[in-house]
Amino acid sequence: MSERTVSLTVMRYRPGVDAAPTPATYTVPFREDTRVLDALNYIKDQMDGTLSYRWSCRMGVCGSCGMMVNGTPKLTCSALLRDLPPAVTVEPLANFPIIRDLVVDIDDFLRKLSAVKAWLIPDSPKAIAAGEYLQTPEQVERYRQFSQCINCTLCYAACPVYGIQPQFVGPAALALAHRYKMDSRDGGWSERAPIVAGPEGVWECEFVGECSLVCPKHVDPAAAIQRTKLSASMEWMRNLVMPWAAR
Amino acid sequence: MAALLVTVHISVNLLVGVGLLGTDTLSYSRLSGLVANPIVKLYLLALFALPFFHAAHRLRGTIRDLGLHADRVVGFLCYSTAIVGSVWALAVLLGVP
Amino acid sequence: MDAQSGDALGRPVSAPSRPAAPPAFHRPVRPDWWLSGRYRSPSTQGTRAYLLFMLRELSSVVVALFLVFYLVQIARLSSGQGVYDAFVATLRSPVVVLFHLIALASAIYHAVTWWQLNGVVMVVRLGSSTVPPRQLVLGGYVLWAIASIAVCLILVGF
Repeated sequence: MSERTVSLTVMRYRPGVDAAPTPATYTVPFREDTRVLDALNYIKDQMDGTLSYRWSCRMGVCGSCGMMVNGTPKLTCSALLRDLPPAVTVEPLANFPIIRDLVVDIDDFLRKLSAVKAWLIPDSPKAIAAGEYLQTPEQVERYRQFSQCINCTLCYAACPVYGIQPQFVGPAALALAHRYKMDSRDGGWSERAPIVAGPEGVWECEFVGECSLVCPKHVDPAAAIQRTKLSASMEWMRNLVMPWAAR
Repeated sequence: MAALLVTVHISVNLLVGVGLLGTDTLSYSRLSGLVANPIVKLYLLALFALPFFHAAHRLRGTIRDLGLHADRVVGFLCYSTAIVGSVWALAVLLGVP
Repeated sequence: MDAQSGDALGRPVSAPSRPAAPPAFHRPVRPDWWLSGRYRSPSTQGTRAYLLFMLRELSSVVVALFLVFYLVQIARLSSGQGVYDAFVATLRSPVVVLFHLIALASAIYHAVTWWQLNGVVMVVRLGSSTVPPRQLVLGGYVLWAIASIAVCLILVGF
């Protein structure tokens, strides 16, 4: 039984040595269940040990292995070679600086996670002795979808606005801000609003919609952003008309 | 948005233009009568003003996306054009008896 | 985060200093980013996704241009029947017809994409459950049809 092979073109870049990323092509055998990540591991193990890339769980939950596969941001652990053409190009995730080969610098995204305070800011402080925060299933459902984000930054690679305006807070961070806003335990909107509802927050978004299409966890950051635009606008008008009601 | 209803206005103009509707559909006496109605004036004002601002905003974003980084100037030009257009619409609608 | 300024507790560490890392490589944004087809959407739009986005944005400008034309048309009502009728007569010219065809295509494209996007995004609650997105989009089209028919009947006269 002859093995199927794929021609994998990988962008290589050695900092301080190469002037710019250059393609290198490898012929890799594959089977029914081989993913792009498996092919990269094959190259590193059998052909070129210097190939550098990030990966971890290999099952689509850690968000480490995001790369451009034939121009589409994907988790390489989930991209089956049998679903791809015989020639596949793997590039580092778009819109991020390249550290080496397929490894990108996502510090900007991590800074934005801090900037939107992507953690629970309780409505009122509660001592541990007072017990747990209680939530009904309906209350959980209101934010559950947006809590599925694995910080893989595929959405940032898909967003042309982020590519052009890197100061844009971006889909995942804004979706997480929305996640906390919709969480009944949270009371931190007023702390997050200057960034989230500021000029570099939701208002930079032009609703291209690609972020939600590439998200491997179906978070739908585009929906989160548009809903935040709506609620921020209504809040602005309410504060204009009834300033005494400002929260 | 108001853009959804613009299709009707474009279509009527188009149908008159290709002869599927007679020009008496848009006759002076009928349209004057329609536009004289203050509710129609209000509808038309929204029909003009809202898409003007909508387009101004989209154009501002598109110009930036095409690589021109002069957002303050571009924004000012776009929105002031929308304001001028809306004021003109208001003047026209108040001017039609 | 800087390993060279001490250990995890901030105590000085005597270790050979590491050379600074070379700067990361920034890929420039090409001016034809929306045309070049380097980005491939997972949707059926594929490499045309960004181009279709640009067309969607520009469709609002085309619609605005039609509205300028239409504003002049309404304005002519103040100038007497002769002037108005002369303007309406220009609707028959091929250039104007072409302009209207392009404007109509733009308006429809704008409306359809607007509903497709916003229909999915809006949260409409009926009691304790939310309306499924597909019903919202369908409902949107129905609303659009009803409103259009109403305006059409008023404009054309029944």
